[in-house]
Amino acid sequence: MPTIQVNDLKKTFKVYKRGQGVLEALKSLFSRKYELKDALAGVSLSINEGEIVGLIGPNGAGKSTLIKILSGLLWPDSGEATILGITPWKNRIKYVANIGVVFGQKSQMTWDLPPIDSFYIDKDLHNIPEDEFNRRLNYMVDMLAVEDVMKSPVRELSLGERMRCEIINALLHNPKLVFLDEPSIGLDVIAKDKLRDFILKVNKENKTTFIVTTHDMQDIEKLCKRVIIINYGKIVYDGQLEDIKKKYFTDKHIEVKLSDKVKSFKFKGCVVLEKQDYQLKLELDTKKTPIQDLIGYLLKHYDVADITVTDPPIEEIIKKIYGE
Amino acid sequence: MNFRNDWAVAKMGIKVWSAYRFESIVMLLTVPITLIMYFFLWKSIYSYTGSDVIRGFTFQQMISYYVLSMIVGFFTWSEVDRWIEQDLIHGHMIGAMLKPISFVSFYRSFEIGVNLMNIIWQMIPVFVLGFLFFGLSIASLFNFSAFILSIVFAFFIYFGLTFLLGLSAFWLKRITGLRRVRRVAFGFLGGSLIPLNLFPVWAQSILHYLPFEHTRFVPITIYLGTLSKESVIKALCLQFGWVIIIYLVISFVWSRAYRHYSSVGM
Amino acid sequence: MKYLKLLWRCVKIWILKDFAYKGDFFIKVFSVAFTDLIMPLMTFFIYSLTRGIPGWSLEELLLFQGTLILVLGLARVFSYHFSWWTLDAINWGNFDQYLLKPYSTLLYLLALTVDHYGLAEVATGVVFIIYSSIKLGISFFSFNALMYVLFILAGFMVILASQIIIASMGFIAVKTEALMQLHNKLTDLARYPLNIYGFGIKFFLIFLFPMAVSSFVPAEVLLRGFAPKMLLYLIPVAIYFSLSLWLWSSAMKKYSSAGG
Repeated sequence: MPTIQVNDLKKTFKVYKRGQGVLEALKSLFSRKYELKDALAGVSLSINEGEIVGLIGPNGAGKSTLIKILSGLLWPDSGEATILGITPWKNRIKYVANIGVVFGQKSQMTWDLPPIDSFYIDKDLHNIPEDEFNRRLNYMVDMLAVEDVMKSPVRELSLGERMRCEIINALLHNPKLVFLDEPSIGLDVIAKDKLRDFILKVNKENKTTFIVTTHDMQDIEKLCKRVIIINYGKIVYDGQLEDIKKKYFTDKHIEVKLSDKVKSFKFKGCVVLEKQDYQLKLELDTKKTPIQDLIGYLLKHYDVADITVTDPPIEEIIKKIYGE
Repeated sequence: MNFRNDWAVAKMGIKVWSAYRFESIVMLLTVPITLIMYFFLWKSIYSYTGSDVIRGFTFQQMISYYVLSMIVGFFTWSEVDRWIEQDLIHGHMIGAMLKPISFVSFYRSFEIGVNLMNIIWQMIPVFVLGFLFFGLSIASLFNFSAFILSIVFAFFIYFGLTFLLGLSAFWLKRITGLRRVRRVAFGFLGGSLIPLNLFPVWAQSILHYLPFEHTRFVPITIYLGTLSKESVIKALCLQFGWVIIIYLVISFVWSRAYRHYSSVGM
Repeated sequence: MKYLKLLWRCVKIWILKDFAYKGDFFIKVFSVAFTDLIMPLMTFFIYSLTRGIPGWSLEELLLFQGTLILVLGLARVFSYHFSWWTLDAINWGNFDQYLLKPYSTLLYLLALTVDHYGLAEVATGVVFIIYSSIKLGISFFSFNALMYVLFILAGFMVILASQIIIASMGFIAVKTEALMQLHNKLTDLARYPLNIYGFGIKFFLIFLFPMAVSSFVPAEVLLRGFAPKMLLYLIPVAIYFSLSLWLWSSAMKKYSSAGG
């Protein structure tokens, strides 16, 4: 029985329009125009216990809407979902006790109180036994280094500090399923690493299922074996990350630094991305020409000072897929 | 009803109150100023008019009325309309929705927590102030106990009405103006600024059909002992009736509000 | 001149911003007027049941209260929002931007925080003033009326000074919202004529917190006529206002020297 089973979810929003300037503002006093916006156009998926799934897509693709519906905050117009045996929006109070959600920009902790107070409130609300609570709390506080931070009021924390506390807040009651919406935003490199290790550890030890929405490709690389790409309210790819890489990683980027000025460059299967007096950036389709041929050609015909070969950034790959 | 959950949220209310306790205490310190103003005002009115009783109130009762108005005001106060408006604007509503407790219970329990502190830090001090300086006294044990029950009902009525106003934020988004009107109207029409029996008779008959008098005027007059025992019982029953009505309206409006929230996707 | 331009710009921005929430805009306007109507309404009730306050007929008291409402309205337009805004800026740590503008910080902030809702309050006050002066047969083409306006402006200065003091305290102390509460309650005392109060409060309202010039003195001038010794009432106002400016400049000095 999959943890998450979703069938053909559809959701359309009414978006109210407002014009510019004083005249439009005055007009809006008397009539309200709205547009219909399709957020989800039939989304189906199935996720098993213990998976860490990355949900990616351009802004406005429907990611947040999907997450909100799956966490029980919104009702879909049509379609079904059974998560942990419950339909989220039909049985919110019961459902919510078993999930954890972290929304990047929106805090769930009480603004005026220190996070530690919000942690204790959750302890009471979810009836967590004292020793288990202390154990989990100390463990997480240690891993995410928030010992001091959690004693200042939430409104005084930086985004990064707050995010770390929000994650603890979401995991204290040991939920089976956790939604993370842009969790590494605002974190420095070291904190991001710690966070990812933390998620992996929790997933390994408790078989917690994670769904991670992110624009940070490093998150995807490090955390998710499986990736779901959503665009225009529909799923355009649902599969292993490895497969994407294999299928789309046929291009290579080559950066060449030369000792002589270069006028123009042409080579089979090669696209010039950037050309400066002493530098070339090239993109090679390795299906057309193997990389050794290009490098051989460069070394033979040019005075090469340096060559660097890299994979194209994963964003480019994703962009290609979005575009399909 | 899950009381353990309610109590957890009430504790949250207590903690947030503590973060703002300074403001609450200062509110308390301004009470004597207002009471002194009304003291002098009515003193000159009573002596100028030359009668001991105005619409059934002696001067002492009038002063006691204002003291009690402060006391009842502190006990029944609610800011839940502002919380809902703010939570919606800043996206904190999600926090409320993700807690395993019903939306109404969440806000109500929070308010109860806040008010528990208000009882200790505002209501009781004003009682003491009233007894010591403004001639407040207890009419009878019956009246005092009925008063306690009455202000509990008043609390739920006031909270309920304010909560309903807060729910309008789901449609209107900004309700700052409405809230200001609420603060003044609920109080004034409830008799917190001037006793309701000083209103023109036609106005009083209209007000009898509205819930406002039950949030201030009714508990105060129960305390003062100006009503017969039967009237007191009748008043308490009416208050209870209003509590039921308001909560029925709340369940209805809340489900519509949630549906709207969901369709617009805030 | 540049301050007037600044003022106009700020007013335009405020109005545009508020129209975005149309219903709320109208209701806010209504709520301001409504809140102030309670005061005269109570007066109506009192006068229909009793002889009222010694020395003041119903219309005279309405003129008195209308004057107060007018003064409060003017103060709301130009200074009410100012203290909140300044305190918020200090709390959130973005006050420095105001020191970087090519304007006097105080005047800049006052222009920035002009609150057009106050006009509703001003209008309410004017309505009651006109109503009662018609009933009392008072003409505004008189020297008394001129002095009346002078004292109204003095009353406005008192409240403005209070807001400046409160804002200044924000740099020195932390919990200044409490001062605001206190100030609001104290201004309530000006709702009724001085003759109802004992000596202590009279002294307070004339010399220490000269709110008497916002309602009592102008009403007296219009109703019983002007006497030159009434100008003495302006002295505490001048002192109070100078105090507020001094506090503000001390606060500014402290703030800039401490590095914010």
